[in-house]
Amino acid sequence: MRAQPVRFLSSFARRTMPVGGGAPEELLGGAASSSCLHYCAPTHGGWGVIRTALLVPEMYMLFVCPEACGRHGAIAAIEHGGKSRVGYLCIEEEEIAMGRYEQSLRDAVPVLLSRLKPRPRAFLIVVSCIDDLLGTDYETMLADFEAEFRIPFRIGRMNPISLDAKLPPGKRIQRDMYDFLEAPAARDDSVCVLGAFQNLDEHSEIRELLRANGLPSLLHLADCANFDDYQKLGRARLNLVVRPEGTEAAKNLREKFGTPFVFAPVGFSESTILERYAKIGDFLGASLVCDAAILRRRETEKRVLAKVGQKTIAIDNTATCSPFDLARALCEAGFNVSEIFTQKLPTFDRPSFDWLAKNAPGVRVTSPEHHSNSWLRPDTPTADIAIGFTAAYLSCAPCVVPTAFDEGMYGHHGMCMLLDAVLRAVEGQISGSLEEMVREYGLVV
Amino acid sequence: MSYIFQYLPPFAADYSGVASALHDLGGLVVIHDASGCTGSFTGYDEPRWFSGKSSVYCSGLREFDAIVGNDERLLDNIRNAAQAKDFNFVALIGSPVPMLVGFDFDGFARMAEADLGIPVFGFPTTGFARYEQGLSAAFFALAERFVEEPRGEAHGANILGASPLDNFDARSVAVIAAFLEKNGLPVVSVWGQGDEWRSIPKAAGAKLNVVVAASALPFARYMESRWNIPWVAGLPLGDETESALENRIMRRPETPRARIGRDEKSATIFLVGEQFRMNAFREELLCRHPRLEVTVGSFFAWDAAYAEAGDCPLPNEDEAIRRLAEGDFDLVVGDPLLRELVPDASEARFVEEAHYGLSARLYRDHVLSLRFGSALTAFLDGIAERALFARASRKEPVPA
Repeated sequence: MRAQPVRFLSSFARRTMPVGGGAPEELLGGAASSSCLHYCAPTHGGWGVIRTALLVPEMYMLFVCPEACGRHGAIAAIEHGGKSRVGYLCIEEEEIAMGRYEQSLRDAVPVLLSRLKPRPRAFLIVVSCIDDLLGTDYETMLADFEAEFRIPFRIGRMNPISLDAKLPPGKRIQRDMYDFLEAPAARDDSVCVLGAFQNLDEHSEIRELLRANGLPSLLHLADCANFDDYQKLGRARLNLVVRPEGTEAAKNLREKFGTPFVFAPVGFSESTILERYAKIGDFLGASLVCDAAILRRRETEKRVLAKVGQKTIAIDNTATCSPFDLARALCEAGFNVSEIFTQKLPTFDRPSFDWLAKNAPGVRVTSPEHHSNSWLRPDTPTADIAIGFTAAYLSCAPCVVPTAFDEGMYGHHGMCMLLDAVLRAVEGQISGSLEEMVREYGLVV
Repeated sequence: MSYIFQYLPPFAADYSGVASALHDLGGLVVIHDASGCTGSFTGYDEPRWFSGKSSVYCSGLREFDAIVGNDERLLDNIRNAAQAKDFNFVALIGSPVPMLVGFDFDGFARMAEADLGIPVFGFPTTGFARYEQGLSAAFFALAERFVEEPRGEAHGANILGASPLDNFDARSVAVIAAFLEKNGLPVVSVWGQGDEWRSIPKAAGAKLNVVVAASALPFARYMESRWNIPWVAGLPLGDETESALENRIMRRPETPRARIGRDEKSATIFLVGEQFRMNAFREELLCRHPRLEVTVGSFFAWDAAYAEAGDCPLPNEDEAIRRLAEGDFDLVVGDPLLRELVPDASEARFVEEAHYGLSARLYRDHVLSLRFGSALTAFLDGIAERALFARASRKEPVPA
């Protein structure tokens, strides 16, 4: 046993509480998270480092790690059709002990590159948690590789041990992915969407609002067919960060190329969306008016509410990065939100938490990672409708809305997309068991 | 030396083996990691996780904890969970970071046990070894701690090694149990899955251990040396393997397989998978199609005593590629992911037989219960037919 310099008070970690019933720190955030063993629901996961990084076309990833660390990502890569662009250099204990770790990597990369057909246009070496403690210096090695192979090399990290650090893996990998962009020769009239895993829906009013202000093209990495397409992302006049995972990439691109960015995460309530558009409008020097979208949204709310009525709704933070704002939007529209499953309260979602505490204090907030979930998971439903896989698993709701990570949703149209998905679930148009849905989505640890 | 996986995924790790072996036993199981290792187990390596209510957790290890050794927080969190429910034991399972910082699992287990008043295990798994070593470690730990000295006359049998990571599901265990019952050996305990906690202590009272996967051989030998329990190895999948296992159980001499000359061989088959399952397939195949030449290979637990000439362990992907190329087999049977390693993996020359320890949740319908009785016969006849067809199509002599 080593020294014990810090003692946490762990007894205050709670599983659940009403949103209006106590300090959020007892349930949400790093202190609460570090104060209990973590339960991993079968719906745990997201895009992970591997699925996210595979969005960069023609890039090869080599994970350098103990065999065990590579397993979940490799299975996920196979599920998502990307295994041919991912390899593993499995290191052994004695290589770490004898300091041969770096040399093993120097030996392996040429071997691997000689085998890869077609040859990748970029190469990302991804190291795992143990490298955080080894402190390997990769600068010289990367320079040597770039000189020898004439393609860019970068280091990425799949290191959940840094989840509570300033640069956790989800943010870091996006920063590293966009670091392959070269300095643009010129700007064009495009906006690049960062943070999300796919572009915003083609019918979203944000597209029209940007077009009206001289920015007709909304780009996203997932739409890039090849590495040359990917390089066009660097020409964007603005980076629009719609999920927090994109913030470090945006900062890096501002630092490297001077590309400005606006952090306007996905929101659902009218007031939050108004605030997001005001922020974007400030950058454009214009007022973004979207009255028609608001009208459509209100009509959709009425239409869906007429069908859904007062069925109870559970939400989780894998469906959206703003679960409290989604809950607020639903409450404002007359829906009956019963529970929110999340262990985080990001700053941008705090106003909606406060709104709920005041206006819907009985909505429960439940930590999906609290240890008691393993035996307290109900056998009978505690909600009628679940938005998100984790809410579905932990509430056993019979109607599941398989929405994940805000994909495509933004602004008032995003709210309409979500409500239509709720309606489809309630009307039985979404078939299959939760397990099948989760498998189909391919959540990545 | 390090090795590359270009085509295959890295395999199920030692910590998954430990957690899998303990999954059904009512313990508080904690994988000491940041989240990826626990996620690997719960999300990929554990087919029972979605519908189960077992208590397997991540310790939530963070950089600060690893560097300063913040073990008190870990103990606090375990204590909180342990006080909320009655657990039979606590197990703390290692991962790469604790290995790197030299976490003292034994010391922690002793401290935690004194604090909690229930048995606590520390498993110094590292993530550098594979699941069979984890299974084995869990079996040994359970036996040393919980198995009681036998009282009265020995009776019945233990089934050793029935792990989901080797494709055993509840139905396949039931079939094996029925076979043993038929042979006068009611099941005393099952090691690998699904047993009731109260049967584990009675294991030393068994008359015989039946080892159904190679991962459990070290444990069978341990039980033999400690409690003088004899063991037999084999998997009773069909008539031939049932008969062979009956002979071993009854201590009857086994009929040696008729030797076929090389030039009489009709086709070559390479079975890649868990050693005992593949051995059982071979026995059944050769009984029905004696002119086939069948060899076995495995990435996992391997015991030379159960290997025939030409059989080989496959330590990694490169070695498998080499063996497959050199063997030039008419037909390869193995996990679907092996297709990419086979020089000619056309439908005619490759038969899929998934292995959970290799491909995890990718092919969840491939469970051992689909390989008994008539289903097995159809499966093996299909293999033989394809191998003979492949040989005829190639119109070449069997390689010498």
